[in-house]
Formats: sequence, structure tokens, C-alpha cells
Amino acid sequence: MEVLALALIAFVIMAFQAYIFRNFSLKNVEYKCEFSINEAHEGDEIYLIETVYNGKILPVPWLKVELNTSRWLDFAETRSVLAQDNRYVTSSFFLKSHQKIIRKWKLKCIKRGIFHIDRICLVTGDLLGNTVDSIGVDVNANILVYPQTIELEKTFTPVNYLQGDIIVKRWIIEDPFIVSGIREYTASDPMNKIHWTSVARTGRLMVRREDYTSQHGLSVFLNIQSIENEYFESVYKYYIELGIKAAATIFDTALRSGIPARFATNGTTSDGNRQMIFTNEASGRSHIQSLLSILAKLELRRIKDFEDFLRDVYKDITNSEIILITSYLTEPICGLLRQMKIRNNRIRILITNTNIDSSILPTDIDAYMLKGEVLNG
Amino acid sequence: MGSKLWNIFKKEISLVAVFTFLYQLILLPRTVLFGVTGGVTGVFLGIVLIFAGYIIAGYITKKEQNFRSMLLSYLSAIAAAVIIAIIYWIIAPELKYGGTQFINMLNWKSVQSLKIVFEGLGAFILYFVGVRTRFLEHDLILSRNKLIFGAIIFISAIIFMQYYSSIEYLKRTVYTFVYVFIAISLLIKNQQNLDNAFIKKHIDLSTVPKNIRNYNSIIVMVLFALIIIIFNIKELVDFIVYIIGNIPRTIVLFMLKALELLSKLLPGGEGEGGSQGGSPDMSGLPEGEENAIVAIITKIIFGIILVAAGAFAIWKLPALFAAIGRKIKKLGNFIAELFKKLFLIQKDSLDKEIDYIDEVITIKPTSHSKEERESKKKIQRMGGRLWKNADYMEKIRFMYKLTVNYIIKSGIDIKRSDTTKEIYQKALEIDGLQESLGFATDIYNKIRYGGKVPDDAEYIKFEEKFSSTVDILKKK
Amino acid sequence: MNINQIKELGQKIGDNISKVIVGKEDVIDKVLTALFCSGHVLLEDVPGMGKTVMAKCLSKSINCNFKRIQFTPDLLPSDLTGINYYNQKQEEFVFREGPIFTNIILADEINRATPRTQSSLLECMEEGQVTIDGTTKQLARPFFVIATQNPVEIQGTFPLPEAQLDRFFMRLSIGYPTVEEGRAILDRFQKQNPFPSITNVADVEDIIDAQDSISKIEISADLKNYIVEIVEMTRKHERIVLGISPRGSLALMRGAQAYAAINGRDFVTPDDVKYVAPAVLSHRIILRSHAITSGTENTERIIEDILNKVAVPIED
Repeated sequence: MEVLALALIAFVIMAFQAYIFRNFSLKNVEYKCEFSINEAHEGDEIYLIETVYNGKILPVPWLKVELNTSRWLDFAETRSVLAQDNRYVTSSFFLKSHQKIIRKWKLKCIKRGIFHIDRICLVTGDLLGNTVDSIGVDVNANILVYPQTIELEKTFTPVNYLQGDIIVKRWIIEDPFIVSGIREYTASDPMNKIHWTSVARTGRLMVRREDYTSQHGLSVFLNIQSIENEYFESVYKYYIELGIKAAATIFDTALRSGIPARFATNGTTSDGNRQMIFTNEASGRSHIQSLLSILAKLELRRIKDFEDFLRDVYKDITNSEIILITSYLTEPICGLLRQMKIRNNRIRILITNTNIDSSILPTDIDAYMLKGEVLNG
Repeated sequence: MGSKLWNIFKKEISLVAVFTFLYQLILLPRTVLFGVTGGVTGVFLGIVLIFAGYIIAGYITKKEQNFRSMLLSYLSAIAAAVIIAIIYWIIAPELKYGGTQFINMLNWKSVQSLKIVFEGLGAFILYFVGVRTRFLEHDLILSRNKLIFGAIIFISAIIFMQYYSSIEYLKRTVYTFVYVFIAISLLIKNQQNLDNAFIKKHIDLSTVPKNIRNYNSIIVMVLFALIIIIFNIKELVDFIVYIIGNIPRTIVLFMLKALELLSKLLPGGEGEGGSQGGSPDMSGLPEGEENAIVAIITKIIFGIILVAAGAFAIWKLPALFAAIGRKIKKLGNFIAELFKKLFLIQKDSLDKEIDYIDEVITIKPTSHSKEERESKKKIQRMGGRLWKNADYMEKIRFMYKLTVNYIIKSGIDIKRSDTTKEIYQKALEIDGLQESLGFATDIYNKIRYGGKVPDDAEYIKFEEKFSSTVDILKKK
Repeated sequence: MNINQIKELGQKIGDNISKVIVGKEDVIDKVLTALFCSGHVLLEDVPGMGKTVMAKCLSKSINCNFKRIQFTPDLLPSDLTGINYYNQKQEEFVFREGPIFTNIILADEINRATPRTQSSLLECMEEGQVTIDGTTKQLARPFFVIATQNPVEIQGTFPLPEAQLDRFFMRLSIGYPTVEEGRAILDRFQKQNPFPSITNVADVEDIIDAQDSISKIEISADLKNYIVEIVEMTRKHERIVLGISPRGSLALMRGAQAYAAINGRDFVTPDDVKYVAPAVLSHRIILRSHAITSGTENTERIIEDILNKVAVPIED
């Protein structure tokens, strides 16, 4: 009968399209996913680029891509679902024959860290939902997000003015502009040191006397604990994150100025195998980059109490500029800092906490506090 | 479309599908009992009733959908039935009926009363279903059970018509409803499939982009068209044959008539018979043979034309479907705008893609590409007067462009940001191009960037190098 | 001077320098391009790459005066420009010219000098003249500065600020030699230094002539649009805070013209623009304010990225 023929034709066609799409939909379909750059800073806007290509005549009427990445990479606002630290995004395509689609998601790096998109799932099916086919694709897209830099002089206010309010100073071998006096010319003096004004005045060859200064490297100590008795993860994460940003800013300045730098902390990185950090002191782009990478991957939990950590290492540093970034101070820590000062180190403290007892602040060490109220005793 | 508008549209189109099989429960009994189908007016009235139930239920429950408002909506179906009954009571004397067994059994007044009751009942059913639809989620309106139920009704209706031959003329009407039902079912099923595939949490948060919906809708309609074509292939072929068959027959008859006229106008002619003019003396031939000649000629011509037409149609099918798709898309957009205006739908924030930017590139296979065909056509055009009138600079530029096209077709990846030197270096992958392409590149650079006019010798040499370059590239 | 002469001149000087410097033809070409554009070059490289040797070979090849200034933190501006000093014998003030009064200067490790001293040199480069105690003195022609800068890694340096970098026509890096080049260096210098044996192949007048002829090289409207598009893209790039200035776009055009001339063409091609663009443009852009991402490598990569995106004017 005709109606049965109609039903049969309809059924055959639907079954045929199900067969075709089930077996051939994902053939010759290429997928690639990558970040527009490999390194960025917090707050940077970059792109996540998906490239999907259908290299056959049969179109792909719908293709779903399930991406799983960190919630700290903010993109696909209307299409993402956040669950704890994960962001699930569904990207949908339809591909005509021999068509390539390059999709650029605008992505904001909210937080520092190292982020991956390792594997995605491609899902497709027939037109009527009778069959669904999926494959996993390794994409291995990685991005390292460095901490943001801040304006140190605007964020911290000096408590003591011993060395002035510039937190990171440059020191060079000789400063010809710091003239401490004049003296008689000797045979070993170069001609450009002759002080002609005094020559004209005295009638004798006179040269400038210049002050000698020593060159300092820079050591940044970051206390990963937010309070004194903290055994696991940092309680006040904001203080530590601010400290990390401050450290990043200091390293950035060090790179611009060519100052050798070192980083030390009682925490560890996500790939650090519970090893605390105490780097060597060096200058150069690659070294500073490695320090920033450490900051990016730093976990907010202590390996050892900071006081014990400082006690282990304070003797190893001399003739250096030391900046301690911490959200609290104790007498033992201040005592250790004084010991370091005796070893010809210049000490500064950056306190990333507005609520600190002012009586604990040492009067003989430069201290800078996060701008805000200081509670008295 | 935005998700809100889309959900409303899905509900309404599903309602149309429900109407198609539900109406059979009214159409067939009406025809059997009263000998009238109701015609287009009846269909229109039915649609109005079912949508009236849907819309009025929406207004009643607009403020708050609770038991009271829902009950009120259902009870309004009675009001609808009563109104229809009243209308039929008023127009009863004007109604005409067919001569059915049922009518013959009863008196006139009884028939009228039964008609009023029947129509009232029918209105109640349709209106009630419309109200019910209002309170269902869209994927339940045309659920699997409803589809099966609808299929059963249609099959039953057609079987019924087979055996009740007096209403067999309704077959075409019923098949029309069947086609509409199939088309809508395929479309809804496809869109539900997309929603299920992409949905995250809640049905209203479907994130299927508009372009995917549209593309899938088009493919589904193509599938539907395929079903209809295959189902009606015999009638279609007969129709085409009929149309095509008549054309050559008409042409042949016209030619014979023209010959006849011509022979009348010529002086002398074929002898005494001929001088009289008039039609050629076909009296010797029996009439059947005269027709047989025409028939043979017609058949031969028809056969050739049919084969050619068929091949042409198949070749043009993708373009035809694409054109149909574009028209459907345009129509769809128009209907969407209409809906928005009718139902005062606010613009959905999901209407526009704000999260990403897509760049779509078509990478055709190397042979038989559209660009190559167009380039060939251009050469052919240039082979005419245009080529003769173009100066050396224009010709060289055109030939260089062709060369680059051929390089691309041979599989080498050339980007828009590549310079002539970079193109040359990439093309060196292909053996034998170094000298000819190098020369061509130098000359092209000179005329394109230096504004130099080539002399005859240079141009001739360029042409030669171009030919040898293209020959090498074509072999790739 | 016609095109063939310029090409020949460039060839001779390049070949002469290549008698001492192994490989690095592209660096030599770019240095010559800068010279013919009356521009100055910033060579950023670690010590021992051959910067001084190259500058010396260049000056010897064109028979002009050469001075090398080692920049140190205590170098004063007057040490560069010269001073009026009181001569006790003559009992009057006498002007002693500074090393800047020469044709070719190798300003070695410019980033070791204080910003004040750097500025004095850069001003001379820009103005072509020096004013000392109210008296203006013109500098020689050609006046060509090859400044060298250690990569920022090295401690105790004053990196040139971005605004000052713009005054240099090109920033180049010689880079380490390849394995074959390294072997060739050892072979060449094994028995003796080839530098003393090279002679001049051109004169100062030839250079001045060539400099004056560069502006006559044809550049089509399409290519000017191409240059403008490249520059425009640097101003819109997501990672660039400050894009190329009009000075930079002019420099790119001049550089392309000079490079075309060196290659014996009296017209510029897109290849010329693309070839000189990284050297001419990469030091003129300012990336986001993170030193770690502002290195030479990154700026060059961004310029190359832009060049790979801007459509070249070829047939559509």
C-alpha cells in the first residue's frame, strides 16, 4: 500500500542518513586548539584559537567540542559552566564540505598559574539524534600566566625613611656624580677626571675625588604564610597573592636595570616536589624569566615555618639588597633580619597586611606597609 | 533566533503537526456522516481553534500559572464549543450536505442538530488540545508517543479510505496532511536532537547557535524533499515526460505546417498536383501512418531531450538546493520577524555571538575547482577582443595571476602576505620551474612595482615562459 | 649616481668587508642600507661578535675617519662633543674637538653610559651638528654611528629608553656564527689578521653621492599603501602599547629604497619592504609594560607576525 511505501521510504532515508553520519561524519575532520601566545600576564587579554577543518564532501551538520580548562581563564561567558576550579565550555560548529573554521575566543587571564588544555572531545551525530559519535583529540595547549606587576610606590607606604621611599634602587660601581672633594693630580689619573674649575682657580692640576660604592645584588624573600601559626594552605590568600605581585614587580625592575636577582620562599611550586625555593643570584632575561615562572607556579602552602627557613639560609647571603615580603612579623624574624644586616646586607620589609601591630615594626630597618590603617599596640 | 523565541516557535510548529493528525478525526467522520469535507474553510477554522486555545490559555495564565487559572483555561474550551455550536445553529439552514447513508437515514432537523453537536465537539477537542499544549514543554508536544499516535491515525485513515471507497477522493487531502506532518516531525526531531546534544543545565539555556539550527533545518528539508520525490517518482517522471513529450510533438507539427505553407507559395511545384497548392498529397498514406511518422520523430527527439534534461537537472541539483535553502532562510527570517512583532518578543541577548569571532574558509580540492573554471573562462573571454585590446602590462599581470592560481592548485600553500619572491621560493618545490618562473617573476616585478612597460621581445619571452610554467604546473 | 653605480658601490664595500667578516652578508647589507639612508645603527650583541671589526672594515673600505668610543658610566657629554679649555700657554680658551667629529663612530656599549651622556650623542645623530658654549659646529658628512648595546642581561647598564631607540635607523644583531662560519673564521685568522690587508674601495664623496641618489628610487602607490598598512597594524596590535611613528614609516620607506638600490633596482618591491622591516621597526614599538615580554626576540617576532598578516599588493 502507498502509505506503507511512504513509511518505508521515510524509514530507509532516515536509516541511511544515520548510517552515513555515524560512519563518515568524523572522517577527515581535523581539529586544533592553541593559545595565541605561550606566556602572558595576569589581566592580559589573549585569544584561544580553535581550528576545525572538514576535508570531505559530506558536511558535518553539527559538531560539539567539549573543552575543559581552568576557571581562571575567563572566556565563553555565556557558554561556560564553572565547577570548582574547572571551566567547561561547549563550542559548536557546523561544517560544510571542505570548509575550515578558525574560531577566536577572547580570553582574559584572571590569575597567575600554568594552565593546560590537554584533551578535548569531539561529538557529532546524525540529523535526528539516532546516533552519536565521539572521539578524543589531544591538543596540548599550554599557557603560563605570570603575576601582574603593581606600582610599588603607590601600593606601599614607607614606615621608616632610613633609605628613602624608592623601594628598588640602582647601585653602580662608581658614581662620578657623587663628588666628595678634589685632590692633587697624580700620574695615574685620566685626563677626564681633571676638575678644570679648580685648575683655573688654583693654577695647579686638580682632579675630582669620587665616592666608592659597592655593587649589590637583589634577594627577594617571600613568606608564604599569611599568619604565624599556619600549617597547611595559606589562610589569607589575598596577602600572599599581593606579595607575589610585588615580587614580580621587583624582578621586572631588576631586569630593566640589569640587577642580579634571587628568589627565596618557604613554599613550593606545583611541579616542585615539595622542594622549597632558594635560587642563585643572577641577571639576564632567562634567569628572571625562570623566577617569574616560579612565581606563576607557586602554591599557597608552606613547606617549612618561615622563621626556621630564614634561620637556615640567612648566613648564605652577603653584600646584597634583601627585600622581605611578608604579611606578619615576629621578634625572631626581626632578629634574623638584623643578623643579615650585620653581614653587609641592606634590608627592606614589604608588609602586605594593613592590620599589623605597629609595635612589632623594627625601627632600625626600612619598612613599607600596604597603604591603609596601622593599629597601634 | 534567540532561545526564547525559538522555544515559542517550536511549540507552535509542533502544534501544527498535532493539528494535522488530529484533524483527521474530524475530517473523515464529517465526510462519512455529512458528505462534506469542510474544505479550506474547515482547515482554517480548525487551525484558528487550536491556536485560539493556545493563545487564550496564555493570556489567562500570564500573571500566574496556578490551578485556578489552568482550570479556567480548560473550561474556556466549553465556551469555544458553545460559540461554534451557536454559529452552526445560526447558519444551519444555509448548510448543504452530501448524499450519505447517514443523512438518508435521518430527517433534516436531526441532521442539522447532529451537525451542530458534531462541530461543537470538534471545536472543543481542538481548542482543548491547544490549551493543553500551552502547559506542556515543547519537547513533550511532539513526543515519541504523539508521533506514533499520529502515524497510527494517518495509517488508519488511509486504510479506512481504501475500504470506504466513497471517500477515496480525500486521499490527496490526507496525503497533504501527511507530508506536512512528516516535514514538521523531521524538523522538530532534528532541533530537539541539537538541543539535547548541546544543552547544559536547563532547557532554556540551550546554546545552539542560530546558524547551526538554520543549516540543520535546511538539510532536514532536503531530506524531506527527497522522501517526497522518491515517493512520487512515478508521477513526477510521468509529468516530466508529458511536458517534454508535448514540446517536440508541437515543434514537429509546426514544422510540417510551415512546410505545407511554403509549398503552397512556390510556383509550379511538383507537377499538376503541386500547382494546385494546398497541403502535400498525403492521400496515399493511410492516416495511421501519418501519425506514426510524427510519433517516431517525437519519440527520438523526446528521448534525447529527456536524457539531456535529466543529466542537466542532476548536475544542477546542488545549486538548486542551495538556492532553495537561501529562499527558505529568507522566508524563515521574515516569519521570525513577524512572530517577534506579533508576540512582542524582546530581542534575546543570545541573538548575537559575542564570545568569539569565526573566520570561515573554503578549501576546495585541487581539480575542477570553481576558481579554475572561472580562470579558464576569463582566458577564453580574453581570447576575444578584450585580449587584443589589452596592453602588455595588463596581459602580463593577468598571466602572472593565473600562474599563482596554478601554483596554489598544485598544492603549495600561498598566503596573501607572500611576496613574489616568496611565492617563487615556495614554488621551487616543483622541479623545472626555476628558470621560467624566475624570469616571469622578474618581469612582473618590473611592470607591477616599477611601472616599466615591457618591450616586444620581453613580452614574447614572458609568454613563452608563462606557457612552459603552466605546462609544468598542470602536470602536478 | 645611477643605479648600477650604487649597486657596484654596495657590492665592492660588501665584498671588502667580507674579506674580514665571515658570513653575515645580511647584516653587512643592512648596515650599508642604513649608511646609504644617512641613518644610524644600533648593534645589540654580546661581546666578541665582531662589531668593532665590522665598523673598522667599513670605515677603511670607504676611506673615511673612524673613532671608537668606549662608553663607561663616568663618561661625560663633554667627553663626546669636546670642550673649550683654557690653554695657559696661549692664555685663551681653545676648542678641543671630541671624538664625535668624525665620519664613522663606534659607540661601544652605549648602555653603560648615563642617560645624560647617551642623550648628547643621540642629539648629535639627529641634528648633525653640535653646539658648545653657544657655538654651533657642523658634523662631517657622512656621519654614521654604529652604537652597540649589550643585551639587557648584563648588570650595571642603563638600557636606552624606548623613545631614544626611535632615533636609530635600524637595530641589528650579528649573532653567533654557524658551524661552517666558525670553522671559516678559524681558517681565515689562523696565520694572520686579514684586516690590515684590505684597502679602500670607495671614497667619502661616493657615499654622499649614493645617499643623495636614494630618494630617486621609484616606489609605487601600492607599496606606500602596503607600508602604511603595516604601520597601522602596529598601532592596533593587542600586544603593542605604542606603535610605529611617522618617522618609523619614513625610515621603512627609505630603507626599502636603499635596499632596492643596493640590489641594482630602480624600483622597490614588497620583498625589499619585508626584508628591512624587522630591523627598521622592531626597536620602535613598545610592548606592554612587562620587561620580560619586551625583549628583542619578542618585538621582532611581533613584526614578523604582522608582516605575515598584511596582504602584499599582488594580483587578487
